[in-house]
Amino acid sequence: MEDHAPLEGPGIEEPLDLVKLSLDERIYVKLRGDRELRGKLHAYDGHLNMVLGDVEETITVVDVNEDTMEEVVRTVRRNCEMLFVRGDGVILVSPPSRSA
Amino acid sequence: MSFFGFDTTLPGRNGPGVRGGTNATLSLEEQHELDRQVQRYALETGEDFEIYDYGEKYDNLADELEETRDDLNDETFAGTDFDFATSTRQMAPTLKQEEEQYLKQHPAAEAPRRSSFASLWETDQDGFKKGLPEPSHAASSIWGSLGSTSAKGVDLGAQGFVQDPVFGTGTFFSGSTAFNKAPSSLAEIEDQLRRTAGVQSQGPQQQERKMMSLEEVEAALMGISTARPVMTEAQIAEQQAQMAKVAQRRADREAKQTESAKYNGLMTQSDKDFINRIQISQLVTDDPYADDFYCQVYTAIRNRHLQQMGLPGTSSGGDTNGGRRNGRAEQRIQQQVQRIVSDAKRNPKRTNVTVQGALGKIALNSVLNPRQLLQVSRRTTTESSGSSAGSSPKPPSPGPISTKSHTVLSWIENIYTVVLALEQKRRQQPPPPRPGEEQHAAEAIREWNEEYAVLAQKMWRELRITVPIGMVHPHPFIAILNFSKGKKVIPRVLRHLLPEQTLTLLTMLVANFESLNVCKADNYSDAQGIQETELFMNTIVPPLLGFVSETPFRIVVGLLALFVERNNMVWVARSKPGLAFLTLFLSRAETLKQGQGNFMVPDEREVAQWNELYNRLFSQLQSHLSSLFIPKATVVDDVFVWRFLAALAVGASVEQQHVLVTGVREQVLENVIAAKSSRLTPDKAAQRIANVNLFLHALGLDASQVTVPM
Repeated sequence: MEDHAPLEGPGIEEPLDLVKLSLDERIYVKLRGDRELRGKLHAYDGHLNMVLGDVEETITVVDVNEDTMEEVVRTVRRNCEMLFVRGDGVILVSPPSRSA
Repeated sequence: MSFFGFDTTLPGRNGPGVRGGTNATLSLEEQHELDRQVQRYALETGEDFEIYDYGEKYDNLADELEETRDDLNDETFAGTDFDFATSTRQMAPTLKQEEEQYLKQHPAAEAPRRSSFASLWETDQDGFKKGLPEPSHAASSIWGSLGSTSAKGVDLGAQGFVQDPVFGTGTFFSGSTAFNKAPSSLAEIEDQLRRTAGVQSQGPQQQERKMMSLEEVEAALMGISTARPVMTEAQIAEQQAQMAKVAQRRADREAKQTESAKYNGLMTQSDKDFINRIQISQLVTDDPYADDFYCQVYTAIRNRHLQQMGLPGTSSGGDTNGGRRNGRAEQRIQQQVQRIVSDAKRNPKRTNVTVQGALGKIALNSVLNPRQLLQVSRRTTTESSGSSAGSSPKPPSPGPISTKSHTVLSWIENIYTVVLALEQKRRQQPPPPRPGEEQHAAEAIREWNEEYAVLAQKMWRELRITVPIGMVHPHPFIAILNFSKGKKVIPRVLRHLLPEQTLTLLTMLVANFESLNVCKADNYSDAQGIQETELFMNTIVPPLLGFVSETPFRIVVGLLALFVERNNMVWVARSKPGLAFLTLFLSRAETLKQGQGNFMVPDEREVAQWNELYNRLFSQLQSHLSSLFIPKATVVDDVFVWRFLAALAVGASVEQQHVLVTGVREQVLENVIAAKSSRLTPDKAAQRIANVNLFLHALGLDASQVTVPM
C-alpha cells in the first residue's frame, strides 16, 4: 500500500476551492467602483467576504473638467494593515500577476 | 353630550323634577333624519366627515389632558375588567328596564326617546351590534346631532371629569361660585353655560346648536371660572403655539403607536423565545474551535491580558462552560439551541424546515452553510482510505510530475483540513474514567483512539513524505515547505506524528535540504526571502531541534551522513537554516560523545564513523569558512555562524582548529576592532565580543587575548 496520497488527485471541485488555495497567499481582487486590492488572503466565506492583510488598495478616479469636458484619469493608492472586504463588491479574485 | 340635544340624565339617579334640559332635545325622528342625511352625503362625496370635523374646529382642548404616566396602562387594563363595551352591552337590558321604569314614573319625559346610554346601543343602524362598527357611521349615529362640531374634547368635558392644568382633576363645575346648588343634570349645566356665555337658551333650535362652537364653549367655561388667571393675548398665542407643537408631536407618536399597537400581544414570551432560539441557532456551533477559531483565540488572548491586569476574564459565547457568566435562562436557551443544531445536523440536506404552526419556513442557512446558488456536481472522490490503493498502485509517471503551484497548494489545504480535524479530535478526547464507569469509558477511549489513528494516518499520507526521492523534483514535501503556509503547519503536524514518522520527516527534509527555497543564495537580498527564512527558523527548526536532542548517537550520525551525502555543503551552509541544522547535529553528537544525559556512550565503531564523517564535512567547508558570513549581516544573523563555528571547533583536531582560526581570522579581528572602536554602542560592542567568544571559547581562547593591530 502506498503510504502517501496521490500526487495528482482531485484537488478542485468547485470554484471556491480555487480561492481556498490562495489562503495565506497574496491575491489580487478587483472590486466594483474601480477599486483593486492586492493583499494576503487571511479568510473568506461563501459570499466572498474576505479578510485581507497588508493590503494595497488602488482606486481609479476619473475627473471631468467642467469647462473643457476633459477626462483626467488618476489613481489613488492607500495601504491598510488589515481589511474586511464585503463580498458583494467583488468582481474578480486571482493570484497577483507575475509582474506585480 | 347634552350640549347638543339629547338628555344624558342618568337613569335612576336624578331627583324628581330636575329635567330642565329635556326641552332642548331633538326628537328621535329628527336625529335619525339628520344621521341619514350625513351618511348619504358622506357616501356621495366619499368624504369622511370626521376628519373635517377635527381639522378646523379642534382646539387642542384634549391636549391639556394628562396623558403621560400611562406606562402601567397595559397592566392596569389587562384582562377583561375594563372591557366597557362588553359590560355595557351586558348591562343594556338592565339599563333599559330602569329607563322604562323611570319613564313610567315620569310620563312627561316620554318624548325624548333617546335619553339614556342604553339607548345608544339600541338605536344604532349601522352595526354596533355587529361587533366592529364602521367608524364614521357609528360616530355620527352616536353623536347624532353633533353635525359639524367635534366630539372629542367636549365629550370628555361633558362628563365632568377633566384633568385640566387650571382646574385640576375632578368635576370642574363644582368649585364654581356660579352654581351654588349641586348640578343635577348636565342639560341644566349646559343651559347655565349658555346663559353665562350670553347665548339665548330659549327655544333651542338645531341651527343655534350648530352655531355653538367649541371656542364658545371654551369661552363660556372661562367665563365661569373666576379663579382662572387672566392671560395676555401674547401669552395665549404662545401657549397655543406650544400646544400645537406638542399636539403635533403627540399625534405623530400616537399614529406610530397605533400603527404597531394592533400587533401588540400577538406573541407570548415563549413564542419570542422560540424565534430567538431559531435565530441564535444559526450562529451557534457545536465546534467553536473549528468554526469560530478567531473568536476563541482572541478571547483566550484577551483573558490572559485581563488576568495579568487582575481582572476576571469572560468566557466566549461558544464555550461549553460559558454558563459561568450567563444566567440560567440563557443556559436553558443554549441547551435548546444545541438541540435545534443537532436536529439540523440530522437533516443536512434540507436547507429549510417548516415548523408546524409557524408562518413560513425557517431557513437553516448559516454562515457556514450559505444558500446554495450553484449546483456543481461533485465528483466522486477517488480517494478511498487505502483499500483500493493496494490493488492498483498508480505507476510512477515517466519523468518528473509537474508540481504546479496549485497542486501543491491543494496538498497544503488538505493537510490543514486533516490537521484541524485532528486538533478537534484532541479536544474531544474522552475524560479519564470515573470509578464505576470504567467499562463504558474504556469503550469510548478505544473508539476515540481508532478515530484518531485514522485521521493521523490520513494526515501522514497527505504530507507525501514517503514519495520516493527523485520521482518528482522538488520532492512533494519540500514543495509543501516552500510555501509559507506549508511551513506554518509543520509544528501542528508534528504534534500528531509518531516518533518514527517524525524521524522519517526529518530524514526526508535533510536529504532534500538544498532544494528548499530558504537555501537560495539570494535569500538575504529581498524582504520576502528574509521573511521565509525567519519563518523556517521559527516554525520548523525548534520542534526538530527538540526531536534531535532526544535521538541516540547512531541516528545523529545517520542523519548527518545523509545531509553531507545528498547536499552541497558549501551551498547549504551559506543559508541560515542549513547552518542551524549542521550546528544541531554537530553539537548533539559532541554531547553524546562526552556521555552526557541518559544515553549510552557511543562505541568505538560509531565514533570512528563519526570522525570520518566530520572530516569529510570539514574538508568540504574549510576553504569556504569566511564565505559563511552573510555580507552586511546584522549582529543577530552573525550569531548563527559563530555558533556553528563553535560547534565545528569543539570536535576539531589541532590541525583543523588551526585551519578554522586561519579561515575566520579576519572576521574575528573585524569584530574585535569594531567592538573596541567608539563607533558602536556598548550593547552592540558587547554582543560582538560575545559572538566571537562563542567561537574562541570552543578553542579555549578569549576575545581579550586577541591583539588588535592598530
